[in-house]
Amino acid sequence: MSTNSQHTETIIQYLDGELSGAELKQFEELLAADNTVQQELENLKLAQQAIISYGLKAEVASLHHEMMEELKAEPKASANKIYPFIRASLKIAASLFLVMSAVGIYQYLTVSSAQLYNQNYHPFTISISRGATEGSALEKAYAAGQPATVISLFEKETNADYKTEFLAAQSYLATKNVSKAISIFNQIMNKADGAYKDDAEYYLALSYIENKQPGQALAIMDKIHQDKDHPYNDRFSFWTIFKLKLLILKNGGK
Amino acid sequence: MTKASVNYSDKELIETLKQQQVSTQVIKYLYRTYFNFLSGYIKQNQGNDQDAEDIFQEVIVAFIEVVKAEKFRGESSIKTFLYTLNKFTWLNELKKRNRAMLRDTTFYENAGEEDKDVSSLLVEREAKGMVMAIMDKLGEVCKKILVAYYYNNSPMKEILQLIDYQNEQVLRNKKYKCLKSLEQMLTADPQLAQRFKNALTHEH
Repeated sequence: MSTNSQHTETIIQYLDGELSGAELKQFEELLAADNTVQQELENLKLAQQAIISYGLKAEVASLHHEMMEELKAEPKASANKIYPFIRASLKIAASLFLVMSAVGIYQYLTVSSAQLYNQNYHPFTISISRGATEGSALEKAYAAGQPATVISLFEKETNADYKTEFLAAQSYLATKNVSKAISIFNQIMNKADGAYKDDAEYYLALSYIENKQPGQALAIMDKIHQDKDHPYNDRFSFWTIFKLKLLILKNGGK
Repeated sequence: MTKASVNYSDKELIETLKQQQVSTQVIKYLYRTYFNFLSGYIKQNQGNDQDAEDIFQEVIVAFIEVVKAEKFRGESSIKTFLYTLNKFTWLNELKKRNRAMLRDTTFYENAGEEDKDVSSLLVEREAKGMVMAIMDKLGEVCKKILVAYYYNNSPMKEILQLIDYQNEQVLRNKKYKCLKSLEQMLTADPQLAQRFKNALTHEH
């Protein structure tokens, strides 16, 4: 090994921290006195810097692929956190939809004018006090549940008031003369005076249902359902109107 | 971010990077915290995904070296510093590709003091690229020995297990020859050697 090579070896040992004691002291004296040794030490330090820089670059590069995989997977991971909620919501929505569909189909298949009428018809009641003299014969017959007598008395009447007309219409409805009932309820509805108008309106809707005219009934039922002050408002629920719409659908839109 | 990831404040990150060995944990933290942010700039300015990845690697290496060389003054946040470094590295790359636009030149002219500070770190970007090319010329065995010894601080006994050599003395001789060879390649041209030194030590 040449003298220069020996110097290089010692410089590298110095650079690597392998010199100590007398060897280190001897080298430091040489370094202070010899410019070429100083220059070579600088050059070897430069080489060492290049290695460290290369090593760092290689380390970053070696982690790069792994990190790219991780970062690209992150949106999927976030999505996976969200998807279960969406999936659960969709499942619930789908279940509800199926249940609603099943109910809808069942209602569609079973709904009929007779069924809807029977579910909503409640006979109009009047009270006549025992021994009272004020009630007419027609009223008394109605209160006694004698619709045929009511109709008979009404047909003889030449100047019937609203109440008489209304009770007669109720009796026609009870005896299944629905078209006659509809006619009288409409007469009451068209009069300027409001007596028995709300009652006539409610029973007119029912009469249309009974007469297989659900389309006519819907307009009246919708109006009563929307009017919170209507005395029969609570009789026509959303569900009743829904069933009526199914009936209309079943009747081909009529 | 994974559950196992570690978070650092700016101060903690700088202190951690100043330690002799750079931990993979810190590099992963830099990726998780800044990759999407920095790559967004590249992709918004004529770069594609691969450009964003390449520039990010370069920026991370440059940042760690700047911190180790005590050149990070901490006058701005790490995020701001990395953003500026990323921007200049990318504009520098665009110019290298002869695709720089007039506004890029204007950008340099209008750069603030902090930007100029960062841009000076990139003056020797090309020289550093040449150093890396010289390293590649050393050959795989030399690179493996030198990186294991000087970058990973691995003891000779461990390196001997990586390299199929008879004994430690043979390995020492090889390391000596590799280092000497690298030194000669780096200093063959004195002017280039000075540029290499500037590029590696960030001295200007």
